[in-house]
Amino acid sequence: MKWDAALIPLLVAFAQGAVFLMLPGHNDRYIFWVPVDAVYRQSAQARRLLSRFRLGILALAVAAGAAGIFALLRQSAPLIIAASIGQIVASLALYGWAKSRVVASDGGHKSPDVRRATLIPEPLLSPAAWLLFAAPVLILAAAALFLDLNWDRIPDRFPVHWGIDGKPDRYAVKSFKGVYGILLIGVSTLVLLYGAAAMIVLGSPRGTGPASAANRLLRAAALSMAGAGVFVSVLFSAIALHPLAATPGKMSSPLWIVLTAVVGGTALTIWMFRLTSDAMEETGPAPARGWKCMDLVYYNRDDPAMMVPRKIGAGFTPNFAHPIVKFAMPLLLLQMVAVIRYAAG
Amino acid sequence: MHQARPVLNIDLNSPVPAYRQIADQVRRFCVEGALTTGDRLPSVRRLAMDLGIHHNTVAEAYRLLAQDGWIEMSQGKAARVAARAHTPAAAGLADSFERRLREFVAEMRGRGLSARRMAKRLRILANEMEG
Repeated sequence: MKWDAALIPLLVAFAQGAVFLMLPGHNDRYIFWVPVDAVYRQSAQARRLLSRFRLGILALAVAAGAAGIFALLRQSAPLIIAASIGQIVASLALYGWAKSRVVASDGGHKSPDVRRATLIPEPLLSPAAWLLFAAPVLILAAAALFLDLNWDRIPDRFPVHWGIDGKPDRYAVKSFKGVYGILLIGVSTLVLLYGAAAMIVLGSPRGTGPASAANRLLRAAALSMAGAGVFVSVLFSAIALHPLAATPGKMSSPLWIVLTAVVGGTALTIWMFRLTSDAMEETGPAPARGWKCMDLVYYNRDDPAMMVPRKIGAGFTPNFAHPIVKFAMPLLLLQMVAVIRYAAG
Repeated sequence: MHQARPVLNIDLNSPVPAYRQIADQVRRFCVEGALTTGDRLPSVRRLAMDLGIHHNTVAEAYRLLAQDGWIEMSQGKAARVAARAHTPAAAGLADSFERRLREFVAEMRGRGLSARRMAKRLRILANEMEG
């Protein structure tokens, strides 16, 4: 095993730990998304609870990372997955334990009685930002064109999937599906990402100025979708073009992919936590009667919004009562099934 | 030229219905010059989404404004601020204005605002709206 492969379970474990460390919340209104008053927030009891939670999460990350490396040495993929899922389950249990010990008060965000809206809004995204949305489409199109122009050079059989050790474990034959299949999965993923971006930009409440927290959250969410699109298109194009590489079949290490996904995903999640919290502070959450299942699900027939900022967590959640959301959810499930089927061969 | 970007403030606890608040504020923006002829207003759905209220409420406000000639609406197009000729005041309008003003001034006096301050504010407001 190469040393860099050992970094992957460690990275994943610590990235998962970093996201769990965001759960206590980072403003004076909440601890573990339980509304608290400022006195309790500063109390020794609350500080002790937070310290125990953070230590526990770090210990679980170290344990999961060590278990992951052990599994990698044993070349056991199920054990690697078990270590990762075990960390999530144990961290959630720790979160539940800590949350049950918080002394709740009435200090949380409430939907405001005074609502504000601008009548002449500024554009949410600059022309340069729109270019970021065009980039993934161009990358996938360029990869398809390059494959078409070099069709004769593509070998009759080539690898399309690699194991955790970097060795190919699945092959495809030279056919339309075999050569362009991964690019088509990339296109369908882009359609979903851009659909979600459109629902966020066109279907969620805006703030009253370009610098407002609500608009910063909207911009960040839309650009995150474009960024994810760039990552997906580069990754899928690289796999699609791999049969034309000088030494097909050799994949040095999937580290760069995992590193980009883990570091990028974690940084993005933490950033979105902060922006969502700022937006809550500025405009308050969507109307209270729409929130169900411990404020995790939003269902409000009277609210014309398709997406609303999350009351708990980061980013946006769909308004499940909206007809377009009802239509989009099965499409999302179909896409996930298609990707899983493709990955599983 | 536009003044500051017009922002609606709708108080859901106010005894004045939300559609009336929207209509009153849009009319004020038109008079003050924050909205000028031809300005495009947000769609009913978009404004309802931004305010977190039902779209029928916004539709009712737009209908009132269109009825009074403040905005123009046509099927499939965005509502726009209408060109509005200065109409001569109807008979009895000045009396109606004085009656409502008397009631309001009496209320403000009762809450401690001096007559002098009220007169000063009223003069400033009238000059602003006159352009």
